[in-house]
Formats: sequence, structure tokens, C-alpha cells
Amino acid sequence: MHIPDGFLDAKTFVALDVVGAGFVAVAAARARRALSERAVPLMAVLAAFIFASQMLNFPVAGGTSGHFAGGALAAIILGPWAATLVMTLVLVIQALVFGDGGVLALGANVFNMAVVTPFVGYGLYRLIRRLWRNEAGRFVASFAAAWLAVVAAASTCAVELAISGTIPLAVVLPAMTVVHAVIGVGEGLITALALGALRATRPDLLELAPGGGAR
Amino acid sequence: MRHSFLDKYSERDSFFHRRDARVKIIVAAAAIVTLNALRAPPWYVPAAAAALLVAAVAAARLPFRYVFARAAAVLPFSIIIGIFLPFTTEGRAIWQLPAFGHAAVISDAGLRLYATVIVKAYLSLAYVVLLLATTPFQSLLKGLAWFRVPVFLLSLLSFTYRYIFVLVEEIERLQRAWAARYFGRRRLAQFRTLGPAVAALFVRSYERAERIWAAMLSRGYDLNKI
Repeated sequence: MHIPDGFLDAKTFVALDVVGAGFVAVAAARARRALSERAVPLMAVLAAFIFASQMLNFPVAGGTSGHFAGGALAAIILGPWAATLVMTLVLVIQALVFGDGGVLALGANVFNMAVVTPFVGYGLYRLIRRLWRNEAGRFVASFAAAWLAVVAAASTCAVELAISGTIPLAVVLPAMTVVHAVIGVGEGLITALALGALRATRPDLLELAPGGGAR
Repeated sequence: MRHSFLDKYSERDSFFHRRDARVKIIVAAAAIVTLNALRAPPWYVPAAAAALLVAAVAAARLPFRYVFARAAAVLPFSIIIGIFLPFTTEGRAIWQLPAFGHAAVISDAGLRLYATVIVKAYLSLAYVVLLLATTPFQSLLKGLAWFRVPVFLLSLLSFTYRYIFVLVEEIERLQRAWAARYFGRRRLAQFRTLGPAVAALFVRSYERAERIWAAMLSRGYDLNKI
């Protein structure tokens, strides 16, 4: 889902660079206020955690595989703003050091995977938890949140490519959405099982997000 | 660790390596912005960018194969995502795919745009590879500080870069541990391994962050220096 340079036109990447920078500035200011200097090791090590966990592959359909993305998991544990900061760090390192995603397209990739993913994931998680408070509700909430977060990011990615005139929306939106609706199942299962395992072993770490987070 | 980093050759010595990081950032940024300013730039823009790139790689005494192979990482995505361009761009029809009737017409303008997009994506990444192969990551961050990128973000990036090595090794240990205990890969059963593995990695990361913070405090860490 990392958009390289060359696929977005100037109006699209400039607009998304500005929007992305705005979200990152707010996220950084909030992390600094909440954690002060402790934000540096905590956010950075958790960014490295997301990077490393993205090396986990799982089988999808017909011999293909997807990899874990982690944006919704980060948002459920840390809250959406901290997740925005953590995911942005991952994306910057991927663009500069690994060549995943373009540097001008960084704002677009930040918007899709560090803004849309955490906020959609966190929003849906809290909504389902409010309506369905038992143990099954926890699993369903984290599964659905991670699934929708992946699909939503893929859809905004498709819309950006269409606005840039690279591919017509009628082609790219269904293609991206369907592929990621399948990949999202793996993401949802890993997220829900990881949160279950965390609750069993270190429930204290689920209270990191402002307002109680993943309780 | 199997990962290879783009700044692998950054500690070499050449005319290009000795230049200030800020100069190299400007060169790479100017090239990438020029390439991407127009949706379909005239042919001499990518041609000039490619010529300049070859000259810079030679001046930096980098292995050509390394730069051009690393930049090729962008090709699978580009070729797949761009595949519809020849069909959907208005232009003179040059070829019809018989299997799909007249809906699948390849136009000359579409084919040209497809090639342009791939060349733009490839050259843009090649300039990033050039920048990172001639500038150690920490020097790059110091250079970015001069361009008013907040020091807070640069410290975060510097730490993230440092701990990626550590945590990738951590996950390789986890993978080795479950490979040693688990025979075969049944589809759904895998997720029962992957979920708790992510949780274990998270706990280890969080505890590591706490130890790092304690160590930083005891050494008098100052956030405003990188």
C-alpha cells in the first residue's frame, strides 16, 4: 500500500504532505505534553516494534501472503494520536532507508496508514466496546477495528491514485478494497489474538491510551 | 541480520561522500521534485535526471549494480498499479486486445504515460538510494535539522533507526523459537502463534523502552541535542 513517487500528481501530493505534516505536528505535541522526554524512547522503540512485527507474514488466498501492518493495534493500545506518531516514524524510515514509498508521497502514505488507519481503527473499537461489553465483544471489536482500518486505508489510497488521474476510480477502488478486505481478515485475527494475549499476561499495558484505551 | 540498509555504502570516501549532507539533500530533493512536478514531463526531464544520476553514482564511486538494483524495488508496485493506464488514457488506438472486444484498446498516449510513470517512480527512488548511500543516516538527520525539521522528530527517528536492528533480531529469535516447536503450517493454527508472538514482542519492546529511559536519565539525557 506504500505509494511510490511518480503515481500522485503535484496537487495531490502537496495537499497530503500539508495535511500529513499537520497531523504529525499535533501528534508530536500531544506525545511531548503527555510523556515529556520519556516520549523519545517509548515512541521510538514502539515504532521499531511495529516495523519488526510487519515482518510477520501470513497466508492469504491462492498461495499469496500478506503481512501484519499494526496500525490498529497501536491505536487500540496507545490511543490514535500516539499511534499516528509511531506509524509516521515507521513510514519515514521505510521511505528513506528501505525505499518503501516515495518521499514526496510520504504525506499521502502518512495520511493513509498513520492517520486513517489509527483513527478508523480506534473509533470503531471504542464504538463496538460501548455497545457490547463482554469478552466476545472485545474480540469482535478488535477484529472489526483492524479489518476496517486496513480496508479504509486501502480505499483512501485508491481515491488518491484516482484523483491524481493515474487510474480511474471505478477500477482501482474495487480492486484495492477487495484485495485488502481479504488481507484484513489476517490483520484482524492477529490484532484480536494479540490483544487477548496481552490482556492475559500484562493487562497494565492496555491502559496506556488516554481515557483507558483497550480496557 | 539479513536486512540490508540503503546507507550500506555511506561510510565510503569519495568527492560525493565528503560533501555536506545539506548539499546532498538539496540535490536529491531538487531532482525528485523536478521529476514529479508534472504528470507527464517532456522526455528530456527524465533523460537529464538519469544522466545526472549516472554521473553522480560514478562520482560517488558506488557500485552501479547496487544503486540500480535497489531502485528496482519500486517496479513490482509500479507495473501492477499502472497496468490500466494504457487502456484508460485517451489517444490514438494502436492495439486492440481481441479477447475483450473493443473495450480493451491500448492507446499510444496511454502506453507513453505508463512508461513515464514507471520511469519517474524508478528514478525518484534511485535518487533516495544515492542520497542514503553517500550519507550516513545520522548525518542525514543533522542535515534535516538545518531545514527546520523539529529536533524532537529527528531524535525519534534516530532512536527508531537504532532500535529497528534490535527488534528485528528479537522477532527473528521468536520465529526461530516457534519454528523449533511447531511442525507444519496449518492455516488457521498459524494465527494462534502469530497473535501471541506480536503480544510478546510488544511486551519486550515496552520493557526495553523503560530500561532505555532509565539508562538515559542516569546519563543526563538532553532532548534538545541529537
